[in-house]
This record gives sequence, C-alpha cells and structure tokens, in this order.
Amino acid sequence: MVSGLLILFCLASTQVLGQNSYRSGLLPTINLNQKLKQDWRINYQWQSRWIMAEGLFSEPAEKRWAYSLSDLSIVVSKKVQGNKGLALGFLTRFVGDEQRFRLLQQYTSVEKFPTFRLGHRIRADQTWGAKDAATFRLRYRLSLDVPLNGATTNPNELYFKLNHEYLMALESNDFSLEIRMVPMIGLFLTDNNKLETGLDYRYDKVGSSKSRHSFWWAVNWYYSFGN
Amino acid sequence: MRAFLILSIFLSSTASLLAQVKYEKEYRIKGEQVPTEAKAFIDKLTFQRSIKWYKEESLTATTYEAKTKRNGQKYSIEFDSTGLIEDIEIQIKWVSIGEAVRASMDQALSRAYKKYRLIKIQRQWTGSAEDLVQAVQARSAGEQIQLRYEIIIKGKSETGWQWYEITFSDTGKLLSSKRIILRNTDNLEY
Repeated sequence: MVSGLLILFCLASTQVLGQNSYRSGLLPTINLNQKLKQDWRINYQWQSRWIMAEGLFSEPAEKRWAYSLSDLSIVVSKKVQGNKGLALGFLTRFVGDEQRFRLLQQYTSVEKFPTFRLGHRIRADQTWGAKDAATFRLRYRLSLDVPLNGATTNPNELYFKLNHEYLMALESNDFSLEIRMVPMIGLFLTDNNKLETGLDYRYDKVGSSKSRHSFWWAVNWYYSFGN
Repeated sequence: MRAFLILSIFLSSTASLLAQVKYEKEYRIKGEQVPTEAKAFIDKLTFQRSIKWYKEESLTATTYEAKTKRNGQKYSIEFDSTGLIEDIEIQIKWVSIGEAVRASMDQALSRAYKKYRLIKIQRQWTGSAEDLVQAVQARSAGEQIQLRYEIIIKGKSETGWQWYEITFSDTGKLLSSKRIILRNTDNLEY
C-alpha cells in the first residue's frame, strides 16, 4: 500500500519523472517444472527481454525494437510441510557477448484460502560477471491468485494474479531499492499447463535521481511434468 | 448392512487403507440456479448475512452448497442435486470439542501420521430438515441429529506431507480419510 502510494506520487510528479529514465518492451518467460520423487522438483526457466522504447521521460520517446538479454536458470527445490519450499538455483545471463552468473536461494510458502491463494517468496541472490561488480540482493514477493469464475479455477477458465515485490540490492557499497507490481490474467488450461499475460512494472533505484521505470509486457508459460 | 458395518470398522482402523483421493470442482452460481427445495430450506434459517451459492461436482455426485456466517461462525450447508438437505457444517475451534473426543482424535491421527497439523475443523450435523432447522436456531444439536467432525489436516507420512479431509464420529473415532489434491503452486513460486 505504501509502495503503491509512493509509485503514484512519483508518477504524478512530472518534474521527478523528467529526470528519470524509462524502458518498455516484451518479457516472455518459459517455466518448465519437473516433479521428482519425495517432493523434490526442478524448475528450468528461460526469460528474454526485448526493448521497444527507452530514454528519459523529459525527452521525446525513442522507439526502437532491439533484443536485450536472455536468462537461463535451473532451480532445485524441496517441498516441506506440503505448502512450503526451499530452493537453490543457478542463473546465467547473456547480454551481448558478456555473460553474468547468479546464485539464488529461496523460501516459498503458499497459503490456500476458500477463494484465493497467497504466496510468499523470500529470495537472496548473488550476481557476478567479468565486467561488473558483484551484486547482492534480498527480495520479498507477495503473490495473489484469484479465480475469476467461482471458488476454484477449473480447466479453460481465467484467473487473476498479482505479484508485488521489494528488492534490496547492494553493489559496490551502493544500496538501492526496487519495487515491482505485476498484475496478470492467466488462462488455466490444466493444473500443469498455464498461460499468463500482463504488465510487469518495475521501479528501480527508488528515491534516487537515477530512478528507472520499466514497463514490460510479460507473457509467461508454466508447464509441469514428471512423477 | 452388517457386512458393510464390519467392513467400515475394519477399514477405519487403518487410515492409510482408507485414504482416497478427493477431486472436486466447485464454482459460484447465482441463487436462481439453485433448486427451489434448497432455497426454501435456507429461507427457514433466516440468516442475517448474504448467502453465497456454489455448485460442486465430484467424481460421484453433483451437490449445491450455501455458505454464510452467523455469530462469527462459518456455516456451510450442503444439498444433493435435487435440493434435498445433506448436512450442515459449522467451522469451530479445536478447543470447543470435548477433551475425551479430542484425545481420541489425536490418538487416531498420531497413529496414521508421523506428524500432523490441523488446518480446519468443522462440526457436521446430519438429520431431517426439520431437526436441522431447529438445531441451527437453537445453536445446539438434539438427539435426533447425527454429529460428526470433518477435519482438514496437513499430515506427514512415508510419501511426505499431504493434505487430508478426515471424518470422525461424535466420540472421536476415525471414519474416513481422503487425500486432498492441491493445485500446482509453480506460478506462485517462479
């Protein structure tokens, strides 16, 4: 709520926005989840960014269509107590001819309520590469999943999902905060096959003169298989 | 009938043997889509709060369910496909169950699972429509009402943690256990 007001305040202030940069584009993601025995799972993820426009709010829009980067990750997780999960993962980012690497650790918990589900995710990650300083992040994400028809989502029905995340980053003694708000509409094909699309809004370096607003049109595909 | 009872008693001694899978498709419907018998029953109960109607389709039957609240307690009233009352479930707290009954339930659950956690506890009343109306109005079940407890738990067995819907008799005897298939959570984790 506080972050929502903060975002609105910043968006309303053209003076602040004038100095801030923005970028917008396409963010497709493929999530393949392999179920193993004894509640072990492996998540394989591919995500790519395609820039459509970027620049400063104070300047005329610079439209261009360009490939930005791709992420490939593998996360091994173990479900505990039915609705909680512990995971360790590794990500590789390809940006031009440069490659960056990330280790991640996460704890998740999903609570089921009569008409919606609430997910909590606490994730720590450490990123490094040949040209950039190492970055350490601690993030918390709250996810809400609500059926749009009835108490539960059935095959071929739609659902609404909202992700709200706070990311604290430390890079070369510089601390920064990023806030994300991701409202999405999902199509529940089966329990193991879901498609989602919506706006992935990111407000990076909150409160700084170098703040950046990112508006991604996200398209996610979740597919589960095995066991 | 006798053979059925013997079979039930035999099976209830081992929860894992009884464990079935609970598949349900539940969706919200409007009051106009509910059988008139069911609506007439709800009207007799004069609930102050609005009624939410749901249609439930399982592998074996189609039922209608009315959900509402009274005095802070959640009521769930289930009808068959023709609108005849099946049972009334009222969400309660664990401590509101008698100590001896609780001890019996705890013993049965501890035998069936290495560890368990209570998620939801409901008192289930079954009886004639007239007796159930009286019981709801008096907030207490008479002798004509069959009392059972329907409990949702998270239980740990050899296969890990799973969710179960377990029915106990009024004395705390385990009657049935169904494993609840939980929805995939991948899109809330990644």
